[in-house]
Amino acid sequence: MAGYNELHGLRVKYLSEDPSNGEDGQVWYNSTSGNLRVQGIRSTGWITTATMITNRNSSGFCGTVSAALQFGGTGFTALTEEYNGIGWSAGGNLGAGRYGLGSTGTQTAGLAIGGYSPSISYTNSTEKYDGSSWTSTGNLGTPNWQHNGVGTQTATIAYGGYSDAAGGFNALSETFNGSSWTSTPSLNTGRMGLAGAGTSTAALGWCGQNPGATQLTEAWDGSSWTTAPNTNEPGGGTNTGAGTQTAALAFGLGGGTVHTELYDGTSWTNATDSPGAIAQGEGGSQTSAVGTSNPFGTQEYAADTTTTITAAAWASGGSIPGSGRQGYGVGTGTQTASIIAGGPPTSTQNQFYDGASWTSLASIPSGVTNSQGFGDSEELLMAGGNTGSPYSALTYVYSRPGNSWTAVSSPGNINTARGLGAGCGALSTAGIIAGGDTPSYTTATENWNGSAWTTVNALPTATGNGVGSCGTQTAGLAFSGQNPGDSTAEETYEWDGTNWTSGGNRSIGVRAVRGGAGTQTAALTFGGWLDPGGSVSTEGYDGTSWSTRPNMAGSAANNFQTGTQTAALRAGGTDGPGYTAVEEFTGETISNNVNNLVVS
Amino acid sequence: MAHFIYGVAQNTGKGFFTAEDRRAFFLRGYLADVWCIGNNVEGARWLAEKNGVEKTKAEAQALITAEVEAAQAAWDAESDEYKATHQRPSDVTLP
Repeated sequence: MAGYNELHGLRVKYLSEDPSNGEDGQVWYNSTSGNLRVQGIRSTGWITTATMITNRNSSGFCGTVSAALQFGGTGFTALTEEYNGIGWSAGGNLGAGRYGLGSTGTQTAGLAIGGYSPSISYTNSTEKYDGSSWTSTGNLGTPNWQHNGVGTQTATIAYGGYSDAAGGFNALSETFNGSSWTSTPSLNTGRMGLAGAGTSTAALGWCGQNPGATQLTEAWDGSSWTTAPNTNEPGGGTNTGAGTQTAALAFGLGGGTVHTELYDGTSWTNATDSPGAIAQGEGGSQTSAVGTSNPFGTQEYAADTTTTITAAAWASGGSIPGSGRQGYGVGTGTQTASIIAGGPPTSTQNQFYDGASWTSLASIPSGVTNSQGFGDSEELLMAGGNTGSPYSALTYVYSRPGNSWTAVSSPGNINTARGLGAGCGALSTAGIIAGGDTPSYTTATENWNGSAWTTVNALPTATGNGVGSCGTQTAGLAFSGQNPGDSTAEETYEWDGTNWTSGGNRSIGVRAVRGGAGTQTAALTFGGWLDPGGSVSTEGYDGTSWSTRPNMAGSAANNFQTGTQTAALRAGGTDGPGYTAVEEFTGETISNNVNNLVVS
Repeated sequence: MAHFIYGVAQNTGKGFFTAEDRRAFFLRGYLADVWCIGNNVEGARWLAEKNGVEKTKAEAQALITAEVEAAQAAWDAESDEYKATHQRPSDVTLP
């Protein structure tokens, strides 16, 4: 039989580790793992990732797929968001909210150029971002809107646009040196909404409208603009691009579309459509880009990649039988082994999910709703809640192996009767409850040692009405509770076994969350109430800050939340498509497209 | 081309929509088994495979509004104690 080297003229390399950028079909021997390895076929295409905190279009956008920055946009917002490749978190606000602004730079050195809002009209305002806040810098020579910017924070060119001061559609071109703008030779054809790529001395601009959609492409060599080949499709509205003058990627071509094209310095070719429309984006190269739009969220493009990213996503789970569950109870366990107990009006319902379907468990001795608790897949503790009025101090523990409930008699009663509070604990024998409604919001925290409750250090702020929570008796997390002075519920508190301290605020001010999945440093929460209705939002916490994840398909407040940050379960809930709905979350995975060669 | 198609399909539970579906097209569920679906090949195929019935946006909105109004009427009839901890169902507007 012919050897590999005889077939391919190559010998199999003997390597101590996998090569970082192997060629398609390359074979090598990994001496560390003892495996014959092969580089799989590289992949190209789009994936859908997280949602924005605040949906918008016509925003400023710069950075890369793993460190992007988005700011301003429709609604004349000043909001800034930072993307880390998985989700969006809040950044510092622009000094002046606007949309249709030019933009360039990086996540830690961004530039916002011009734009429009009713309060400031067409503006020449330019602001610099340093990774946390915006500061004003030298103004554009002429106020402008729907123009394009490329380059860096200190070497930029902005071109095209529309403004009264420039006579409407315009061909203006200005360069920025980090402190001031200088007028440069104009585009050959004035237009607004064009996209671009490259640098301040080697730029490309394409499409735009004046007033009709164009396919025009022009190249800048540092001294003048010259005509280049047209794009395949016209692109009116706002356009988006990434890359360089000779290796550009046009996406969302035509203003909020799925159309994608590639430019090689000579001609444009059509590429794979994005799954949803894209309104703005950036990337740094032709082979790696990220864009967003309302309501399609975030989409990433990767070409010729040796890694495979499987984006996080929600999928439907087995529906809760009958009329379903409204939530308002206690859920514990994992995505494939969860217990959910209690709920309105004062339910004795107790059910188990095995990853596919639900079975009924022993009923709670007394109907209860709005209780708080903790546990795992085998045991669940529920404390307080409403068994009528006022709030209860009773404690019940359910054991799944025995399929039985124990009503814990005094001193099993909690010291502060309450409902709608937080519960942190990975076992039914060790946990805390905190906050909640008495009916007024409370700061009270109590520790459960398996047989009795002890009042311990209180929350800094009274909070209730469906506090989200997860974690353990010594590393708990409480979030999204309401307090009397603030109904937006962004606050997060971390429990270290002794004291509560403030954590990073939630990006989205959702309340009536009621649950949570994961740990203090790897948490996930989803749904809740976000005026004016139920929310589909999902956010993850890394121990410091929250960032967005892909939305659920259906909104749900007060839902049961169990599992981990990367394998979570949402069951039932109010203010959504129905009480029977169940969804399962799977976190993002990144794998090297390298496999073992096996003899079969 | 419109961004969305609208349809009615009953959520049959596990497998009704998969993570792959969610990555391939926009999907949002509403009352009355109404779904707002990204208008691409994968989205249209999904609705067909689920034996869904395509609706105009106005038809889909009317189905949702009827259910919302019924839910609001039910909430209005509840006690003050119930209302203190349960939000009134909100109006829903399809994107």
